[in-house]
Amino acid sequence: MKIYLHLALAYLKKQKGRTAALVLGVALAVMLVFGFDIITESQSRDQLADVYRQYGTYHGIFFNLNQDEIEQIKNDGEVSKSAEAVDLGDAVTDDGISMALNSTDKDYIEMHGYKLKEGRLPAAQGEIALEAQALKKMGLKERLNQTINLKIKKDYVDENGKNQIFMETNSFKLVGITGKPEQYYDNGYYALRGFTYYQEGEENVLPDNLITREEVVKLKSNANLDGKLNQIRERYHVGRLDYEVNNRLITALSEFNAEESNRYNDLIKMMVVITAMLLIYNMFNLSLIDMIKQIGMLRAIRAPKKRVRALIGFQGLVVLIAGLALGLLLGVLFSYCGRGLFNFVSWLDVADASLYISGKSIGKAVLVGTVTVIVSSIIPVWLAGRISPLEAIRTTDRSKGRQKRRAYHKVIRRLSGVTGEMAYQNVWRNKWRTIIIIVAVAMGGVLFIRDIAMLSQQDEFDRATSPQILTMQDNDFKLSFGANTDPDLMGYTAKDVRAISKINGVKNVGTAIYRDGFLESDLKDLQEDFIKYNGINSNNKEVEIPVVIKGYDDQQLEGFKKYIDQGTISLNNSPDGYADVIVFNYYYDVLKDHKTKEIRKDLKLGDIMTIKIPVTREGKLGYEEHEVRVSALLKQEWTFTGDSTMGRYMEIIFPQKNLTAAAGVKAMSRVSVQAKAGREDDVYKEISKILENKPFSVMESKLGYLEEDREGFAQALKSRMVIVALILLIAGLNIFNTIKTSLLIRTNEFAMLRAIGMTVKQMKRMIIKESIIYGVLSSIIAAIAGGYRHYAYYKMANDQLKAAFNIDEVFQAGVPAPVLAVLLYGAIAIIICVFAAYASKNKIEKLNIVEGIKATE
Amino acid sequence: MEILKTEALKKYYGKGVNLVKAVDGVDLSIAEGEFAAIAGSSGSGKTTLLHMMGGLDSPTEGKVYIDGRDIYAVNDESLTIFRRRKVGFVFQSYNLIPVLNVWENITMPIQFDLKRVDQEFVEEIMRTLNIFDKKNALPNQLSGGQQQRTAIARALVTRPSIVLADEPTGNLDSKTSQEVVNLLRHSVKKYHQTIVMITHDENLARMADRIVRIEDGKLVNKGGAPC
Amino acid sequence: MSILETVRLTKIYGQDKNKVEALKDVTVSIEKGGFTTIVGPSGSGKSTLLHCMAGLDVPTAGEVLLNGRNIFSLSEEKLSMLRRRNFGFVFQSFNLIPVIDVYENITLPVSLDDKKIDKEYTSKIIDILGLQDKAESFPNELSGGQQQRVAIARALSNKPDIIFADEPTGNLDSKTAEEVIKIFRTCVEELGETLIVVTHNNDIAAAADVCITMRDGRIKHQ
Repeated sequence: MKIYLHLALAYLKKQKGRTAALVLGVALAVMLVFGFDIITESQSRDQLADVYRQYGTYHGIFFNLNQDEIEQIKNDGEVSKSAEAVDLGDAVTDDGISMALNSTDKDYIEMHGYKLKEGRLPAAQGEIALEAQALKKMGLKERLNQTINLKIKKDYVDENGKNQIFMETNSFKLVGITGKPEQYYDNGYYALRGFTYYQEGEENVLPDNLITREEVVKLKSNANLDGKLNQIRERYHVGRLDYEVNNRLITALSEFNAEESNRYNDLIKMMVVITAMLLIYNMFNLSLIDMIKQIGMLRAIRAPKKRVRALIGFQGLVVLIAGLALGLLLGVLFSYCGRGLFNFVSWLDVADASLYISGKSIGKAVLVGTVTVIVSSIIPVWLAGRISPLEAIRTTDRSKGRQKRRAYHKVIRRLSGVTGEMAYQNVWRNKWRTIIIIVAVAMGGVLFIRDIAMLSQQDEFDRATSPQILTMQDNDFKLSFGANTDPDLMGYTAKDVRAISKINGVKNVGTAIYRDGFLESDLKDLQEDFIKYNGINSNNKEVEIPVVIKGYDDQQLEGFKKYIDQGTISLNNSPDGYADVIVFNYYYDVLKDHKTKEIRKDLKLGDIMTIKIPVTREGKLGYEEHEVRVSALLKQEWTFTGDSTMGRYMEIIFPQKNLTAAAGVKAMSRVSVQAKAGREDDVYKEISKILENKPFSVMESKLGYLEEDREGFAQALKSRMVIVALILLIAGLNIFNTIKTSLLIRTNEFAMLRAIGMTVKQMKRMIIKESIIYGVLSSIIAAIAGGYRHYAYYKMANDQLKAAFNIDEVFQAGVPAPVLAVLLYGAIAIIICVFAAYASKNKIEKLNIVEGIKATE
Repeated sequence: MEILKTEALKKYYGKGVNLVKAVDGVDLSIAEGEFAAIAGSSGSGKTTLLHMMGGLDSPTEGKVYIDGRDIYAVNDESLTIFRRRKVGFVFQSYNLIPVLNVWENITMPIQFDLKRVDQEFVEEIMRTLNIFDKKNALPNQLSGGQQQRTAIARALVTRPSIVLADEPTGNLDSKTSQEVVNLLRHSVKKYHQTIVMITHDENLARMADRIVRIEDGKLVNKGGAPC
Repeated sequence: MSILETVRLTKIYGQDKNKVEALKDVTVSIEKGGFTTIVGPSGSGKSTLLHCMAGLDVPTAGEVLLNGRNIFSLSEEKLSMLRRRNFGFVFQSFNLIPVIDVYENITLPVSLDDKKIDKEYTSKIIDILGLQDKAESFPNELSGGQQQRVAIARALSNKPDIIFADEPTGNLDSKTAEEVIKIFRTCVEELGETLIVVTHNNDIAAAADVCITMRDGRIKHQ
């Protein structure tokens, strides 16, 4: 055995360049796979820890349960831990700050992730514990025992199946202050929660008939949480809308358990691995050619095929071991440097992620490395055994394959002389090797071209496809309110609106009112899918379905004319007393097919509908019935580019003054602002100042969205360019060694050319021309593949949006051609190829003519 | 006793206008212990004949018997084994493995067969061929003659019944050539082997027991006129 | 008239123990328009002499004078050009570029010189060498003898002063070798070439005008 190992090692040592390329090829592929895995594991680990701290430990929460249902769920086989509390509605301040209110249950509080910072939990009626953040937003100090007045508000359905609102003011003593980690409040998407005392039989903040219970559960196993929770819901007949999953936790757990492989990551890994495989395959084949005389001789003197194959196999093994060692090391380095650049999880701010290396990721990297080497060396190993002993003694030219004369050869000859033609023919001497090299170099282009092209097209693409940006329409800013506000009580006052209008730089201000109301409808008039999607109770013949009631100012309504499918906008009430409304009769199905679908069957112009609007009369908040007439119907496009969100309910749109008159509404839910060109930053600053005094006010900025998307893209671009560089490095090694070896193989030819009078300069030029041809061919392939990918991306976006929102063409101006990107990559490819050739110039200069002629290898 | 025999051996290449009859019907018989020289001008087919005799190249027609066995009648693997045991080759271009030293090159055939190296025997051969003092040198540190002698040692070390040598002095100067052929003679006599040597050099051919002449693929019996 | 002369040409390879004195103080003169062969046993230095005369190898000492001028006083580039314009070469094997066809192989020296190809002359050579129907074939479609004829045609295509051939019939059978010898004589007699051939082949030596014998790096007799 020793002799084989000795030979294998000796040949590896002799062909330093190729061996280095082999080891490096394996190492780089392993580095990438390993590095990605480390980053993914580390980030998902950190993310999970963060999420537990901020969002609690429960997996799902069920609402509107009675005692029996609570017990049943608690004892369910899948549930490992549960806690219950009473749903006491919302606690609302006069200003409209709203928070969920639950009874005091230690386990429930703990499973939600709240910690008691000061004081104690409520133990008697009239006591309350609030979050420090809530106090801050309410403008109160963190002082225990202060008295706080809050309205208790709860929506409910009465015995006749009608929706009602309960609201009563209560006085509370603050006995405890709760809190969560600061990061939780920093991202802005949190829901405040207060806890107060509840005891059955006593007089509580809500009357008995309004009491519902909710339960949080933690399941035993972390697998398929979404599915299992849904099963539990179905098992105990809990309504479709009566349960929620702890989204962040479930996502974090799923990412931690790597339940779904990141397909894009897998694609990248595969591309790098394939490039490495092409390199290894090529290097081994070149080695065979280089060693062909000696292998032939081995075969001639005794060596059986098995042993010769083992020789190459040994080399593969040595390369594998060295490559793995180097690759694992580089992988750790890669993840250390790259963890800020690559973001593989949904929520975590990755810059500070720690590094966690598990045995599993090491194992996977080793596996990938091994498979890479095995797959790419199988054919060379097999070929080694097929080398006939005659190769050892062959003295005549070994040139195989027919070269055919083609028309364009004359053209090449005319353009670049005989050296050019020889260069071109040389490239195709070994068809498959050339194809392998070209593909390897072109791989990088597939990623590069689309990304670089998008660099300049990103904004346009965003503006055309992002609903977030499209629904901003001509507005630069949209002011609204976030969670923790009560839409019936919180709004932008006339004073606010005036102040905003007065800002220097503001061109136009629009206002809108939003309210949550109900539509009375016969069940049979509603579409099946809609009923299922929204979990509507199908036991009654008549139902009240939630609707969004909107009131826009006249100017905005004018602007909506282009979304009208049928009918007209009428700004005044109709003479027969019905309020004329514009109706959007679609909902967006985000679960099943991502499409907008109809809500009410056969809704026509002129139809009369009965809706319920929340109205405050004499201090009391309740629903009032109004009959409205459908005066216009909106297109599906409204969801995508109109002033809508991808909602689940019908929109009923009034002219603002009519809605105000009907519902007695004063404050605006939404203010839209257009700034004069170039004044956006100033306006933003001024509005921010005004909003400082309005807790939970939210300002959306069109430029802000564009900027965010741009940053996200830039980040992704950086990470992808790292990959492109990696692929080009591996491909470059391939070319370098191929050219080097081909010089070796063609020593006779070169010596002969020199003998008959080719100068060294001419020879160098011929080699450079050859490598340019490699570069050009690669660029062409890259251009085709990359360009296709570019167009496919646009097409995919187009098709998806067309299907979802029933619009014509998303990209009015057509798809911009990625010309610059293609040329850029072409230049890079050619430069790499030429550089690879240039690096061999020493060999050309030092060629000894006489030795070259005599050489029979 | 006859150790090697060819019967109507033919090797044709190409077809039609390009048909080349490298070996065109050769009947040859070599006796055990004989030192035979095959002489002929370039392109006469002697190399092709030698390759077929040694089982390296399969004939278009005809048979080759070694020790009474038709070496082309069996399948490849056992042919290889048989050939391995019976025939040793010395090539014109020495074909030493450049990354192994002299000792390793010589003992490689044994090691490839995973057999133990009989150190004494190898040393003896090396001394006989006068390259023992170079045993740690690499091929590129040897002169042409030394390389050739290394190649010969490699062929002898496995004690084949037959040694087939293709222009073993092809690239050597006259003095060294004579020395090498002498050494060859001497060592094969010592180990009771048969040797068939190709040469185009008349002086060397005359050192053999018998000269077989070949011209245009056929055996002939005439001499050439030197300059 | 002497066209090429070597003056005390010496070539030594290697050092110390491995020193090989391939050429020892060789002074020889080649007549213009003659067919000269250089013969000798293996290792006599005949190939080395040819290589030095042709400017393919640099001697350790001594000069090679072409029409009175030492060719080794030229730069590498100029020497290449000299070979291209003034010499023609035929080797034992690996003569042709496999990726271009016969015609292009033949006209290669002229193309390298970026000069216009003399179509008439090229046709004439092709005829002389009997390659008319092979002009568009590729080397791997030709037999050894045909390849060698292409090589000879190439050697002629740039109308050289001297054609150097190193074992040109080494890989050919006797019949083809005879043809090649005939062609050589034609080159000398009809085209007025000067031919210097290194060979083992006694028949070539017999066909030559002058026969230089070498032994152990020196000239034995002419």
